[in-house]
Amino acid sequence: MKTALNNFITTLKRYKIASLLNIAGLALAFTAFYIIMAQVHYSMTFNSSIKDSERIYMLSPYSEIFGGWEESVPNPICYDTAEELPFVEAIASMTSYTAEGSVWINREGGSERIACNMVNCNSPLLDVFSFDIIAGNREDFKQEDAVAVSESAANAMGITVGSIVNLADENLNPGTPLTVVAIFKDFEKNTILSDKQMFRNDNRKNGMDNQNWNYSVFVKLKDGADPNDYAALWSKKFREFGEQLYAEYVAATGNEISNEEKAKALEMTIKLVPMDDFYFNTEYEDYPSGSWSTTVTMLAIAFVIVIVAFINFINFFMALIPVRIRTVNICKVFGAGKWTMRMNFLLEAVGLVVVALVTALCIVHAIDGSFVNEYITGSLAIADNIATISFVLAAAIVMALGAAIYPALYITRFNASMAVRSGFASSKAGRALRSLLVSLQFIASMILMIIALVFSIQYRYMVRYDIGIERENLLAVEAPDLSGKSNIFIEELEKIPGISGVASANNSLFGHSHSEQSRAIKNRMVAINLWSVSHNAPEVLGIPILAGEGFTEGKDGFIITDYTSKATGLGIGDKWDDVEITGIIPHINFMGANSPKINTMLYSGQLYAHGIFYVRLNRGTDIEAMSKEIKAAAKRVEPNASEPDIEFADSAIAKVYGDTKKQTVVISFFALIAVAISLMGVFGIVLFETQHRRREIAVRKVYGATSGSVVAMFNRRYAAIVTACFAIAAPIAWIIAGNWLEQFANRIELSLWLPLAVLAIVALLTALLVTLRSWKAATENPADVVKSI
Amino acid sequence: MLKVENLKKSFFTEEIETIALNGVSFEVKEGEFVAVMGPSGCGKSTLLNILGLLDNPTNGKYTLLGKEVGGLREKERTQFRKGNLGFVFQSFNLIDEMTVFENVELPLVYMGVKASERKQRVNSILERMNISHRAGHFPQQLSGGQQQRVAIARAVVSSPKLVLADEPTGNLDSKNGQEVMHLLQELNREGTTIIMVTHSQHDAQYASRTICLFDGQIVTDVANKL
Repeated sequence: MKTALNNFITTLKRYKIASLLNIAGLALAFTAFYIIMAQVHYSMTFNSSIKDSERIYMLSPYSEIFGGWEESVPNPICYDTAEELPFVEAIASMTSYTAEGSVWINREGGSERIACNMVNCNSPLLDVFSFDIIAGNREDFKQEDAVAVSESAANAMGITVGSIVNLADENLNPGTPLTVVAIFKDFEKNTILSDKQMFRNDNRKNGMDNQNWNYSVFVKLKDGADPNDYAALWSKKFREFGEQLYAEYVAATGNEISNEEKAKALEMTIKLVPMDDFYFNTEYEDYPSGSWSTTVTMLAIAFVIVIVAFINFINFFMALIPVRIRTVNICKVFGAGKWTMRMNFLLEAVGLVVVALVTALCIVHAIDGSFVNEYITGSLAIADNIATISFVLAAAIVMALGAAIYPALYITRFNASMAVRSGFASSKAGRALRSLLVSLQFIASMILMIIALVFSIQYRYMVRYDIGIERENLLAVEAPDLSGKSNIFIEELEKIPGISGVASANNSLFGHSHSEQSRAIKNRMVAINLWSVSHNAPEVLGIPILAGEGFTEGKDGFIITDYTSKATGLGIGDKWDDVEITGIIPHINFMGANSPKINTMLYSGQLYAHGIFYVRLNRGTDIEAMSKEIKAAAKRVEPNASEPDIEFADSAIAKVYGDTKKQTVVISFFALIAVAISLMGVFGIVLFETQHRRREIAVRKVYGATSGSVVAMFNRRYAAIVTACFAIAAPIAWIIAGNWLEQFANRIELSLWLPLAVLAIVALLTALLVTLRSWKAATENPADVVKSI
Repeated sequence: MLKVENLKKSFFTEEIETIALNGVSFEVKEGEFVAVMGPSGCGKSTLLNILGLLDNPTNGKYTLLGKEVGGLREKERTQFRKGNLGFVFQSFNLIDEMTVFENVELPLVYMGVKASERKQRVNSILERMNISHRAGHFPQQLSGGQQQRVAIARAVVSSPKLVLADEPTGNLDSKNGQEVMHLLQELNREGTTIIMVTHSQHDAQYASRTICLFDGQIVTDVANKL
């Protein structure tokens, strides 16, 4: 063992640059692999820490009108169904969305306002999800307005069982006192409950009617129960309910809808989504989710990067063959055993890998908590990823042994007496193998680079996509604490010089926070997406009125887009819930470029409190000063309010594409790593070749080659490899990128210059490296070389 | 052909000056076959490198083919070597990855000779060296004697005016060594000027003149009886 360790250290010392490049490449690859595996582990084990997760299901109906699976469901039907089925062990409801609001906490010396994530639910939720109550009483949660608080939130907020908190202004029924009756142990981060700090029992009062879809419903089934039995009975009950509702509608209005529309409205299928198979359902916007294809892609990238790094590793050991073969034979002459030397060789490989892995863990430790975490949902902490580390270590050792076994066997197979003048590494077969391995690296790098470039351009395209408003000089001010005093805040803002207009909305206009409504209109079911805004929103946001008058201050009204008008037949003067449509505007797409055209309606009226403000600035306004003034205005309106978040509308819009941005950054990051490792490999090989071919270079120079022609000779070889690899990589990347772009309703056209740009970059970097390395060999005095060899 | 006057060459390592040549002067006429002898470290190879324009002298004059070449820059030396000088090394210095044909062709490639002419000239010299049947082989597949014949073919394929040979028989057995010496002698008789560094008294007898070096200086310079 001691000898092996000595050999390992000697190798490190003797081949410093090559060893360092290898360790650096492997360390980078292991870092990338670790990060990806941490994310994959997070995704694959999502919800699995919840007790009996395999028996808990979320009920998800398919809405034909909205064209998708919903996370909210008509509650009474769910409970009626459960009552009739003995295999349902428990059933509970919880609002699908998490309200990011605040509560007031009474302290000695006054009240303190604290932000928290709260959901409304009913008491059986604690049983369905097996909450681990560490203080208080589970039974007490049955009281209305009782709250259960997570341990971490209770500690942070300084509350305990018996504390009273009051709902702040932005909540429904502000001032309502809530009693803390239980503290529960925090759920694991990768569960649907982890981001919820406070569970309030509201006895699902907003879900007692089948027409109010405000709650998700979860059922826990007994072992061996078939979820399809539940789904079948549920659909039957929904049809019965629909028939009854329709009869009431016809009786009240005298209107009938076509049979086709009726069938569409009454037929509803439901699926029971198991908790342990929940994460990859991306249709539920209110719950965390991830794309299966992205996870698989990431996993594939992780393996590609490790393989790219191991190719360097194999090349390194191949390159050492001719250098060490003489030493090995001399050792054999003096009695060294064949297997001892093979073991030494293998142990060296394992040693290198272990050093690289330790380096990778140091890198991970250093970057944990940095910007990297913004792009990774899973925890990077080493303590949370022991299983991942063990897997990486085992995989790394297996690959190290795999990479070193052939050179170890080759180098020791000759008779000790044989004077070996040229080994495998200098033979044509050796060169061909090295070229093949380098080619694989280039292909992987180019594919990743092309894909990263396409992702990046698509992201930029989406961010700049015209959603139908004038976004220049427009600020988005998020101040939910001021939603109860939005009018006063707007008045304060309008007094500030430099502000030309202020509009408000109940939710951020950019993204998916809106209300979906469906009504029977003109003999058909019509679904519409609704955003609540202030009366002056069209003017402040720069949305022209195409027909009608727009909103009138103090009067409820709707404005629809021209697309919606065409699609639904609705027009000026028509009514939606007895409120008149007063104007038509051009199509706006608040949900962004990756959403298809949908029916869109703006509502202005008293129904919703507004906590988001859109501030139009005059050109040339000092943003920093304006930001301070807006914050000061907020303070004047509500001294206890938390500071508003202020950003340009551009940034708010960019957030809509957060997932695409994440994918782009992650793929670009890993593409960069792959390219860096590949170039390290190229550098290592050129280093080896220039050393190995010193005599050839000298002889060529003796016979008239110039330094330039020697450098050109090396470059020609790599230019040919790069070109051949490009011919393979470009079509593959083209297909992958094309498939990825399919998911966007509005997307870029793939252009030839994208792969050509990648070719140019790779070729340039390679030429730079090859020139740098080969120039030294090319400028050596041939006289020194021919006499020294 | 060439004339050196008061040639000096020093090497500096860690501020220590090592004098390899110390005031060497001689002249070689066209068609001569000169053997340079002397103990190891006396400056033979250094002298050969300077004569072959692989290195520059530290001081002194070197006139080759009527041109002062002692102070040429590397690029100019490379240019001058093409077609004028041929080299034969002790360790052959053939390129392992190239065939015999390609090795011999190399000087013509750098001279910019057309492919058809290259082929004709290479085949002709390989036949002359009695090695044409091995044209497609790699150096590793040849015996030492055959490798040196290839090296000589490469040295003379461009019809150089001067061939410099650095211990051309040093790695060969006596039979192959003798063969190589006969080849060099034959080339010399055909008009090629040859300067050969050797340790072997026997090989030196093939030359028309022997220069002996000791500590970087010429101690004897005598004509041989042929």
